Amino acid sequence: MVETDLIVDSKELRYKGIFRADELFRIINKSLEEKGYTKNEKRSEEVVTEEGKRVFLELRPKKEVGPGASLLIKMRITLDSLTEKIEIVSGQKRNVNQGDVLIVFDGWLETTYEERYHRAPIRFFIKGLIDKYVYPILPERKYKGQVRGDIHFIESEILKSLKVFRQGEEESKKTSEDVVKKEVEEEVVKTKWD
Amino acid sequence: MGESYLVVDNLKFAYEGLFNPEEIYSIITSLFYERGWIWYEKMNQEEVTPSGRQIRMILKPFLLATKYYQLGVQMRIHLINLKEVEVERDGKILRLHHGVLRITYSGEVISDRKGLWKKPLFWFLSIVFEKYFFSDRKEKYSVKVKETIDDLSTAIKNYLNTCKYTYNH
Repeated sequence: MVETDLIVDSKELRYKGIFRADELFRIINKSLEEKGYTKNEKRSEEVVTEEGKRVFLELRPKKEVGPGASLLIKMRITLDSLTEKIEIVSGQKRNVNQGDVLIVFDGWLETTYEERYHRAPIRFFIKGLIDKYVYPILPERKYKGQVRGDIHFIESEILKSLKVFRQGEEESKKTSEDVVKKEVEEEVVKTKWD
Repeated sequence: MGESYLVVDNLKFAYEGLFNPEEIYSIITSLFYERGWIWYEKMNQEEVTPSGRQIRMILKPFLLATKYYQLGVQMRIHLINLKEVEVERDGKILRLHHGVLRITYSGEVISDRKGLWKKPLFWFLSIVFEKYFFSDRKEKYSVKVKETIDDLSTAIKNYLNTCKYTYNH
C-alpha cells in the first residue's frame, strides 16, 4: 500500500499569447531531466474546432528520492484556442502558435513506509518526538521541500521561455509602430511640399 | 499462465474532429503485423444510434518473445457519435467521419507463459531467478512493450496531426 501526501495543490501557470508548443514541451522535458525525473505521459486529448485546437495533456513524472519514497509531479497542460501563425520574434520570421496556456501542477510525496521497521508505533512515536523537539531526523520534510523546489524550477523555466516570445511580440509591435510613425512623417512632409 | 507485470498502465488518448476510422485501424494492424505480433481482436461491437455510430473495440495483440516470456498490448478503442461527412479539399470531395475517438493503451509482460512453473517450489524458484539472475530480460521486454506502444501512439498522433508531446526532445 502506498501512502500519498499532497504537497503542492493545483498551482496554476497561465499565459495568453504567442508561443511554440514544441518548444514548451522541450523546456518541460529538459527541466524534468535536469531534476532527475522519469518522464511519463498519462493522458492526451485533442479537440479540433473552428476557433482552433484544444489540447489537453497530463504528465506524471516520477523520481525516487530515498528508500521507499518517491516524488510525483502531476502536470495538467491545457492549450486552448490553439492556432498557427507567422510572427516576427526577435527580428526573425517564425512559425508560432497562438492560444491560451494553462498548466496546473500537483506535487505528491509517495511512500511505502507502512510495513517498514521504523513505522512500528513506539518507534514512530519516539522518532516523531525527537524530530519535533530535538533535531529533525525524519526525511519527509526534506522531500516536501524538494518537490516544492522542483515545481518552482519547472515553472520558472517555462515562464522564462514564454517571456522570450512576449518580449519578441512587444518588439515587433514597437517596430511596427516605428514604421507607421515614419510613414506618417513622410506623408506630412509630402503634403507640406505639395 | 504465470505472473503478469503491468508496464504501461492505461495511457489515454482522445481526439475529436475529422478522421477516417478505416485508416486508423489499418495503421494499428500494419504496425503489429510488421513487427511479427499475433493479432487478437477480443471484441468488436457496433451500435447505430440517431446521434451516430458507436463502435467499441478491444484489441489484444501479443508476441511470443521466448519460450518463457510473452508480451501483450491491450487497446480499448471507443468511437463515439461517428457521422459520415463530405469535405471539399483542392476541388475534390473527400468522404470522412466526424466524431470522438478514445483509445486506452495497456502493456504487460507475462512470464511463464506455458504455465510450467506453477508448483510452489518451482514458482518460488522462478521468482528468484527472475528477480536476481535474469532481471535484465524482463527489463528488456518491458522496454520493448513501452516502445511498441509509444510508436503506435505516435503513428496515430501523426495521422491525426495532433499536437505531439514526445520524449525525444
